Amino acid sequence: MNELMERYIYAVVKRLPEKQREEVKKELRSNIEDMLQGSKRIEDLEEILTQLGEPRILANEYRDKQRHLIGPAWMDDYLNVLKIVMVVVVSLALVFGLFEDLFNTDSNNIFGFVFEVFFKAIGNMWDAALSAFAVVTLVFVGIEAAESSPKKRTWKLQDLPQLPKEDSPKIKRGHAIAGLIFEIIFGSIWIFLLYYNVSYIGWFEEGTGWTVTVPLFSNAAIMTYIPAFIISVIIGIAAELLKVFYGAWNLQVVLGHTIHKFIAFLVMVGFLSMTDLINPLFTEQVLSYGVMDATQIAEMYHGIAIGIIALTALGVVADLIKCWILFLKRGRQSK
Amino acid sequence: MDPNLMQNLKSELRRGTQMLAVLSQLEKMQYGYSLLQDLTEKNVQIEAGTLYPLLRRLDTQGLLESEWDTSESRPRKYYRLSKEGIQIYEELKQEWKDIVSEIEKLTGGETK
Repeated sequence: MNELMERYIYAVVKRLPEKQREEVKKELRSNIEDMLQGSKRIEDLEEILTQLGEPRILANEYRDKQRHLIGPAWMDDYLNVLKIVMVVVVSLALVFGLFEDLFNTDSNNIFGFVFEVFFKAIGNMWDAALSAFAVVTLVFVGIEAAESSPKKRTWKLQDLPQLPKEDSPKIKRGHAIAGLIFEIIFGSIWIFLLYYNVSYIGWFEEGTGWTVTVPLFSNAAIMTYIPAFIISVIIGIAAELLKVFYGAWNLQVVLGHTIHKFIAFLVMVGFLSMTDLINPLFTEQVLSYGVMDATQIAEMYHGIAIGIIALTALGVVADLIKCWILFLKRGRQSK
Repeated sequence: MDPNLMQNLKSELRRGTQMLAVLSQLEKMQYGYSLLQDLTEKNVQIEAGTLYPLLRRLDTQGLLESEWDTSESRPRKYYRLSKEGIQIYEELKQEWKDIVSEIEKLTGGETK
């Protein structure tokens, strides 16, 4: 009978801070014995303990203050940030993981290869998701701890967010997130391809599998240009994040979108118009087939570059006109 | 009507008053169980699992003073209002009266 009582008391006090345990243990023992009123019947004890309730809950009552890592006040912000960070980090992990795995497999048949890449990719994403979860959670635990410290921050009226412009055309959250993932994945694929262009872009010849024997681009030229692409992709990701954040074509989003398109276009024009972009050895390789002469080859490069620039320019202009008209029209209707 | 909802609303309403009930009975020395019986006799609903932790909290907050009586066969912890507790109890009592009259006016208990 005593054992049951001690087990109950233990279940309560083990959840309390060390320095409270002895005292609460004494109190509980004394109270329970008082309630027993001298009875030695196990049924009476059982009834009393049931009445006192679940030890976990009783222990919680004894605690001085409520404890939590992230309280209800921060929960919404926490979940929103967590979602976006997860999406970004997991898609990055997928891209970089896939690249790394595709070219570092141990399997020598196609099924083994597919399985290996598949499971490695899942593993990468899982790791990334766990780290992202841990980091975001820790940051919010920090915020919560700072907020609940004695010198509690008082909120100011200036901190209130602007009302979303009701009339700004909405961007569906799904679309915005898809755009973000798209930007991250293709941006990083493009930079990866350029960085390893020596192995992926050029004159393929069949040796032990298809390998590039003569790269199309001059590697030195590419390496000096990669930072520009990285900046362009980062701006692109920022512009997509704005869309996720505001969820509507407001001024910030339209400006961000315009700056992104503009810079991406400039970076591409700059890239294609580099005079030393093409590897001279590649030109020689083409010449060796005798189908075209040097001027024709130069003209072809030039034509392709102009063609790409013109097409992209058209696309960018059309896109920007569309989104500015959308934005301006809505603004006028509200007046 | 969901009976759980009713129960929750009622106990939410009662929560703050339990402390007042406890303070009111501690002008004289009492130990946990005697206080529980005392309150039950007077038809005040409070669970043992709520009362004991509440006593401890009021004790740490300085509203009560407590001492262990070890003269009997087994030790008992006695509580009573501290000096500060008496003052606080008087103020809370006034607050309670105000609340009752405010709510009375609103709910039409008194027509003035």
